[in-house]
Amino acid sequence: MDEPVSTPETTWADALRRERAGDASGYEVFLREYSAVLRRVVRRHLAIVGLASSDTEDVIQEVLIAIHSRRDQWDSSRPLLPWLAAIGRYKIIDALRRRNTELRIRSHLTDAQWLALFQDECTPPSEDAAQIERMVSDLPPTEQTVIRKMGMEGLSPRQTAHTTGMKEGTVRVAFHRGLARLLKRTQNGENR
Amino acid sequence: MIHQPTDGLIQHLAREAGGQPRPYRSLLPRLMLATGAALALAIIVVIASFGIRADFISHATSSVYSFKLLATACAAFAGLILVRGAGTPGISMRWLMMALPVVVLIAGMVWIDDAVSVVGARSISVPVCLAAIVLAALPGLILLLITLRNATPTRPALAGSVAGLLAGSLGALAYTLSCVNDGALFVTVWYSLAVVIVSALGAVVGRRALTW
Repeated sequence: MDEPVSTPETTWADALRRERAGDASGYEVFLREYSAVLRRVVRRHLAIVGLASSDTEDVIQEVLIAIHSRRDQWDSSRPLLPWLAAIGRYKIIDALRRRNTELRIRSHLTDAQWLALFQDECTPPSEDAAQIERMVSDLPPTEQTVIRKMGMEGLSPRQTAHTTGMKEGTVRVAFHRGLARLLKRTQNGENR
Repeated sequence: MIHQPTDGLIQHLAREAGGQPRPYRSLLPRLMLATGAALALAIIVVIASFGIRADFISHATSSVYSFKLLATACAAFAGLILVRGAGTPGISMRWLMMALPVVVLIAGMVWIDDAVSVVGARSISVPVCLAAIVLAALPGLILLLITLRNATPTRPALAGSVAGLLAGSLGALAYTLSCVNDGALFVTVWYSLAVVIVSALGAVVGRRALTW
């Protein structure tokens, strides 16, 4: 069998021209060969941008569907490969960008969720309040105040800002930093 | 290696062979139609909201008017070529086309004796010029974006920006009917700024409207 990438321009363009006349088998061969090329491209792209390769097939399918739905718009008197490459590039970038956004949205937790996480994961059932008290009192003063108000007394960021005279943004930042520091210390404690 | 879901999709797609939703249509004729309509709309907006300058008949033969007409028409032509490139996957963008209007503008600044300063003939010349060109360009921008949406843009923001360049140039072309600021420097600075504004607007809208 010929190496599919050796003369794809002529064979694929031919397959797409005959698809217009209803030749399904040639079209299927083209889709298979092109998806093999896409698979290599997408894998490498995913690796470069640091994403897992588990999304590869999904991205390939998005590109194939895009080409299929726009195949009537290819001018058969023009080269096919640049046309395929432009659409492939667009759809791959689009798919990865969407996944990145989803990832960002999923990893953005509310203060309450952070707090629940912190309480569930970082409060060892065997250890008591004294342990937490010791860790919290090790925090820098601002973070300590905010953690006490929000994490222990259950005040909202706004209430905390009101009672301490800090800005609400400062309160939120200090809360996150404080939690992160506590989380880090508990993890270090576990590794010890 | 077996890629089960993709294999299934390929078989499904292959079964639809020959069942294309519509036959191939070239983008250029549709684009030229939209460009003509955009120019007509821009002229209507300029006449309706700003009017034609009183001495237009005698002004139309002046070198300043020829300069305005040539510069905006060259920019529109370059825009047309670039929009076509942006709507056709795999065509290289002919950015060099932009040299055409730039050369005309520079030649105008060198050769034409300006009757007005860079701020124009009246105190409100600059804001009126910017508002008129942007307003006149808007209906055309919408038309061009719709045309591009039915094509295959693979860089949405860039496609929107060149659509804005074309629409803005057509707006400027229409505004020459009304503009009383007979200076090459005025035209170079403020017409260009107006076109850049429409182009930026096109990029912002195109980024969302031209994805598929």
